[in-house]
Amino acid sequence: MFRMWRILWLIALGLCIHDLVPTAPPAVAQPTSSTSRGESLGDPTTPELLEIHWADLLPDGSPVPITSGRTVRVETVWNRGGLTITADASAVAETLAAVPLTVSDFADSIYVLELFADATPVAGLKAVPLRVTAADLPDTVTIDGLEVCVQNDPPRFTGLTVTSPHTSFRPNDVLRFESSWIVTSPPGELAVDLRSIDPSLDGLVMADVLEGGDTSNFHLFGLTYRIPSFAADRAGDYVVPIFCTGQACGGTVDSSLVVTLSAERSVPPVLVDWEVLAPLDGTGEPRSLVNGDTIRLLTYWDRDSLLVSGDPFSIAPTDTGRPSTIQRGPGEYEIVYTVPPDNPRQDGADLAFVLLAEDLDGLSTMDSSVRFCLSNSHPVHVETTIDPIRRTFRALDVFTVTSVWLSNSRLPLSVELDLERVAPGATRLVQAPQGQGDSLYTAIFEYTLPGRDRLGPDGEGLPLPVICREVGGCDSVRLERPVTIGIDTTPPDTTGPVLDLLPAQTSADSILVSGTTAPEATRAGLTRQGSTVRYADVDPITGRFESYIKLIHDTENAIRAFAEDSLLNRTRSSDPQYVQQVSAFHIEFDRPFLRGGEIRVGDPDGIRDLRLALYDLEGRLVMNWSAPEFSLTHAWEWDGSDLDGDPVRQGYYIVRAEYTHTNGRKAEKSAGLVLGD
Amino acid sequence: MTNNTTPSAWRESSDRLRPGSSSLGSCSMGSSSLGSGRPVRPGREFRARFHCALALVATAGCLFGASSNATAAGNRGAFAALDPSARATAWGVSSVVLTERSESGRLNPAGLLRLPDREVSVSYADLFGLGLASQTQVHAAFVFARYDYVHDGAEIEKKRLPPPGRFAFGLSIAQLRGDVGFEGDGLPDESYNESEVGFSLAWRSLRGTYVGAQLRLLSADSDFADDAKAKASGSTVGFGLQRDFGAFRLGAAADNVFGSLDWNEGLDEPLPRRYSAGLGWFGFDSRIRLAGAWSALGEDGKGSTVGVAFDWRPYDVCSLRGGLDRATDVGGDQWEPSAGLGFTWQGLTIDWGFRPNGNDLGTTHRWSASVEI
Repeated sequence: MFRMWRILWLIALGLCIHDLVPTAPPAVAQPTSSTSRGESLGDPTTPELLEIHWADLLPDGSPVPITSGRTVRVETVWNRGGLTITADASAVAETLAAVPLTVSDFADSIYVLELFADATPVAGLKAVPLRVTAADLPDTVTIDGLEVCVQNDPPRFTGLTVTSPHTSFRPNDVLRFESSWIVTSPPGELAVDLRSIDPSLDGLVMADVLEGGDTSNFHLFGLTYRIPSFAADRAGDYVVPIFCTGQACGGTVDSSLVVTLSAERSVPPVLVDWEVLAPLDGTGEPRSLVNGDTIRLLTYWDRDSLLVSGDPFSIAPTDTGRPSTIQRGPGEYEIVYTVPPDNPRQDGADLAFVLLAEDLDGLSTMDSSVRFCLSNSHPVHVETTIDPIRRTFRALDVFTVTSVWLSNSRLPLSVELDLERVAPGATRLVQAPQGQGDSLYTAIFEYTLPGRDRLGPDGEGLPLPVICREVGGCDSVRLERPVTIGIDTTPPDTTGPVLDLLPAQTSADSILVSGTTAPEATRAGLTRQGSTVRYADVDPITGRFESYIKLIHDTENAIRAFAEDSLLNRTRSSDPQYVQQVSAFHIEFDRPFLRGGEIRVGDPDGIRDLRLALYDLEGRLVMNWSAPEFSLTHAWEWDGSDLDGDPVRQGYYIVRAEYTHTNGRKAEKSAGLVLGD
Repeated sequence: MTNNTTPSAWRESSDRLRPGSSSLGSCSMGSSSLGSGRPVRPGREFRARFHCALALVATAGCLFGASSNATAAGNRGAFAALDPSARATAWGVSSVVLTERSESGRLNPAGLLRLPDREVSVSYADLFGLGLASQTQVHAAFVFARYDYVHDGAEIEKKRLPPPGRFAFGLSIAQLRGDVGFEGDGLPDESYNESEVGFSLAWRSLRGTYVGAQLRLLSADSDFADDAKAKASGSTVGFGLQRDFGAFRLGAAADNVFGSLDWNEGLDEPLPRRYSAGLGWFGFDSRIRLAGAWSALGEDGKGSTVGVAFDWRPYDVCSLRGGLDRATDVGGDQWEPSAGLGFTWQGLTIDWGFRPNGNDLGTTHRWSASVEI
């Protein structure tokens, strides 16, 4: 029980102590020691402000800018301690409050003020009229010369890349790095504080602007710096602050760059990069070498103080001259070499220009990554022809392209024929022509054009580019239009055949249709009422064709013709000719047919072997007649009785006539008959 | 537990419906002829008397008709007996035995009783494929089924029994159109039309004999310039019966027994009587059906036809049919083979039948569609 009361008592005591801890804002600076407080109470010296300055500075010595929501500090130095001071900086912005914070840790007479702003609508350098008053100072001390930078949007750091191949740096190693920033008030600058690794420096080192500039917010800075000699006991990691500023006041410091210094050396020099300065083509790109060219090669190494040279043996084996070397910067060496004009080296590609480097420690390296192409002799186009010479070619046509080239390089040639414009998707034809004599090469391409669906668009003057390459060399010559051809994907004769004139009317069952079409057509199709009824062969010389087609009886027959080639490419149909088929054959009787009436059958051309029969709707024979002899007309009188002589009932009957035409063709005709009384 | 006991007084067992031991035509006026000594409901004797009287009247009518038309020509004319369906086209003359669908009203009205349910069918044919004459027919049949009463505890359930029904009613409409003249004669297009409406009734008579009668109303018309020509109207009555003997079936029909056809001009010509009779065999659960039949036209038998037919139903959804007729006309005898197919799916039946004409007039293809309602 007693123990519980004791615990409760301790809890209560703790709460009381917590409540008694002063929570007043640090608006009033409190002396940190009773000694100073005691001294101040008894110090009769009139307070005097000796010095005031910014407590936080950027690497370049400028004050850290005020940003909304952040504070900057001001140090005030007085002639004595034990003061209670107040301050007012609202003259710049109402929200800018100067708060006497505390006394300094270094001396009782130094008081730190904190400037704080929730929002700073103003920006730039501002003179801060700061009124600082000590409690026992009768007058206000006003300082007008304190400049503050208000900057809410300082440069923003976005990245840092160390391009040096080192993880630790030794004397003469080259530190290369790139850092990207967003500078809100371009152009920007980047200053690097290398004093931590090189104490001999008396200021900041400015980096180069690699990208961005006057108007772009994005900036890419780069710096190349040779690590100086340093004592072995200075090996270790060092932070290298980088400080970016824009046109506006203030700036941003990034401290992510850490350089490790190391005293040991065991790795030979490393070629970091290289750049051909000459020879260049018109676009600024390196071009092939010719004898007499001067090579200017800028090399980048991982360290400085190197002995760099080049070996052009692959380019000029017989040349005894050596390239010259010029140092262009820390770890940057330019090598200059002139190819002898009388260099006997055969043309070739991928010729190494060997680089040699040795550092002060005697470590050396040899690099063969720099390659050149030597091309003193270029293939020269002599002639390209096509056979046969035609205005246009059609599907599956065959042509031959002959391309002649002159080359003195003694390298084998490869000649290609580009068919893309003529037959899209077709593979290039490649020939390796054999040389004729010393320098003449002839490539012969025989090509069969694909089907219509894979031919290029119709047109004339479609190019057949020819490309000539040196095998093992670096020359490639492309001729865009050495020859051109025309492509025609339309059927061989789009106008269609022309039919000979047909009679407007005929009583014949069939008619001879003839006409003329293009000789390249292999057959002609004859259509009646839009349907193909017969094919006729086309004479390959005259283009003539003819064939009989059967006519639809008692109808106007629309007859057309079209032509097809061997690939079944079809022309348009010809204009129609209309032939009215008139059935000369006829069966006539009265309607309705009355008993005793006459059934007449005839044909102007005459018929024979006529058999006429009468059937009921069940298909049963009722009556029949026959007339085997030839005659123009036949007539029978029918009394309405069947073959047995019994009268036939009234109703519907079918009359069927079978006969032989004058041309020997047998025919059948039917008619409906209604028998009445 | 269901008690399927049926009151014996109401029940007509399938044994009694099936062809029994008594012979066809034993039409006695006494109740003892009903055989078996089973209890007979009051009125059954009266119905038997009625049926026999009807048969006697029909027989007398046949004789009377035969005598009254002794001078009429024994051949076809208007309102020829065309196949009423693709099935009939495939079977030929044997249809009189095999028919049991809605077209039975035109072929043999007794067959209507064999329909399981109501049915409507339509058929079309271009006769002989000549493009001259075509016919469209529509048939409808309504079956009044028999019901059984099943005891289920205290309740009595009314249950529809399978065919045959108590009686059936049929309606047939036919339209024939024939082009008149020859295409090349240069005359205006004219046509001849025949229309008919038939009413059929079928009922079960004594000892499982199915009896049917049909009345057809006829009308012929044409669009000739002379309106009075080739126009007629009339009516005709026919009868039919079917009876099963175990796996065998007897079918018979007498068409145009009574009636007249009055032409606007000329003599009135009742349609020629047609008698048909045949015998069929039904095996393998009726999946194979064979039949032979004879048909004669006119009193002198001119234009008779005899033929055989089969119907094979390998699956429930399809049927193969064929027939061979030997037809006789004034020109002699001709063989007429025929064949057809039928497909049934969910109550819809599509049939096709064809028959080349024995006189080489052409082949008639007929299409039918039947729907169970």
